[in-house]
Amino acid sequence: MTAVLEAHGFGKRYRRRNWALRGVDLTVPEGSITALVGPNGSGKSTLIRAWIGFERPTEGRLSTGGVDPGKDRDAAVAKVGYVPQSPSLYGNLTIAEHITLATTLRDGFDAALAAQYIARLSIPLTAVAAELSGGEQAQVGLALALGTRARILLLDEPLASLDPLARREFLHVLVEAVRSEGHTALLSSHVITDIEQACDRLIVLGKGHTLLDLSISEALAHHRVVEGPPSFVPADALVGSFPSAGGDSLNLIRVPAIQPLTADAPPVGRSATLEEVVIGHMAAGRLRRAAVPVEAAA
Amino acid sequence: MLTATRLTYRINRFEVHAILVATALSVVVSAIVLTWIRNSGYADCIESTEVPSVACLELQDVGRWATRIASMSSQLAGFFPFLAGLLLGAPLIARELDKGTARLAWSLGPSRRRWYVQRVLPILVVVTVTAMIIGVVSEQLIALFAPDVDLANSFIGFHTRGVLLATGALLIASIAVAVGSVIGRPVPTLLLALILGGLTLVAIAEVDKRLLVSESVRLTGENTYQNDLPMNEARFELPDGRLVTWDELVAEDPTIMEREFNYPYVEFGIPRQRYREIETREALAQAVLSFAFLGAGAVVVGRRRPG
Repeated sequence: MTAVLEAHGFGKRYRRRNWALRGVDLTVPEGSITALVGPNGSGKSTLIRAWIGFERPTEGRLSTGGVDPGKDRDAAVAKVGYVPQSPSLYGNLTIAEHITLATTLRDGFDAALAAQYIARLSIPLTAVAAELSGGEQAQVGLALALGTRARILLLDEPLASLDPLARREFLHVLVEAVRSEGHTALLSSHVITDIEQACDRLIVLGKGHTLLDLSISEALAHHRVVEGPPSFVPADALVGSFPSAGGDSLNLIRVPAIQPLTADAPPVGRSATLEEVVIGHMAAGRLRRAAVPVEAAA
Repeated sequence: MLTATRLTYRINRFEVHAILVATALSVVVSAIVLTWIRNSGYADCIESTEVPSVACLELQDVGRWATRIASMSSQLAGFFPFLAGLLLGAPLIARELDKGTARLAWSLGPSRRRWYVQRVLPILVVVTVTAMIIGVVSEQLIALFAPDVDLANSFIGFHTRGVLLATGALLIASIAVAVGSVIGRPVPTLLLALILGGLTLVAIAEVDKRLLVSESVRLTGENTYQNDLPMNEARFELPDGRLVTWDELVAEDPTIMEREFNYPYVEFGIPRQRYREIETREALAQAVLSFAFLGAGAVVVGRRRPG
């Protein structure tokens, strides 16, 4: 499968010392909806912004649809539709004027398509952006990104401030657009339930590096949860330990490491939810970071 | 480009409306004042050095107000480049970076240069045209108080009338745009552009002054004894042909103050016929500097993060 987004040894350092990301190697296959998950400060936004050319790599290289955004930002932007966490619309312009604005900025912008997405959500084109709710503004941001007809969509936590209904509507439009047009989408989010419904691939970033990069079905199939203290499971099978909502100690384990999927013996523990897979890897990432000596981290 | 221009005016409508209203108000008030003074005959009363006539006395109450307004408008014209340049230039890029709309625009449009031109050009046209209008109005007001002077050949109101107001406003706006591109916050941009703009205009004036000193010539005929001439300097011509200032003369001959002398008095300065040439030269310098600042702004926009 062709990769449309690639990172090879990518690193980004701010102000000489703080590495937001380092040594990131990952690819996003064409036609997928990939979730990019990680705790705050794990570098999700930095990676997405670097793919659109808003950040320059400190080391390594990136590819956006075959273009190096560090060398040819304009070409990279032309290949991407971008939705930031806050859509930052022009407060005193109407939605119709935003669409017109997009046509003046980008040759080939599909104003009719953008207007069509907005109309489907019953957002009036004559509405002034400042009067829209956060959910509606996010939808307008998505419609503008889709209007670019770019093959790659980069969505940087667009669901963060939306209520559940707005999130669901947003994802519905996104999934339908991506599936019908054969686009590729990378969606950064904290909301695991939404990811499970919309995405087919999962990348977990932890404090500057990749912790997990699998399809969602693989992620679910190859992890299980065992209750009890971490000593209950072999160290080589343990991914990470974390508390349940009720306070019990849970351990995420890798299935192939403890027993083959084809084994006749009953599986150890219970099936992991996607949220537990993500949290288990985040916990592992935190431990790994804590184990790194201060000098090495600096 | 017309659509982009319309949208740029919509995005910056508060500032554009404020400047257009201020300009229109200035034009209307000045026109009313000028028309009244000219048509009522009060213009002759202003010029007259004799005892006021009965007609002049009857017009005096309104006339004083009219001349006061005309005089104040003329003086305020010198501040218009700062007003228009800062109000329109400072928030233009800085606010887009601050509010995040630049990020939206830069993700929609592959060319930041196109976005920059679409934003900057229409606003600079407003700045320059309104300042030019104020420059013309100011010229009319100055003509009111100096009816016998040919303003095309006079340094009266130098820097506060005509094309220099327009290029001055363009320069201030360009500085504000460049500063805003770097800082990305409207209020600090406004303050820094005010300081930088003021310093730049002072620096230009200083360079101009030195240039004019080096270009001063011996004035003769109608050019002598005119207080509107820049770099007007008086010297005494000694019998040996040397030209000295009064201080130099006293230093050379301390007894000079105790006796009579008849050294010829010679004036140096810039002949008023050079007004248009010097005005054009300074306007060109301001325009070139403006383009330099705009170019710097474009480079910053092309390289910086969207905020």
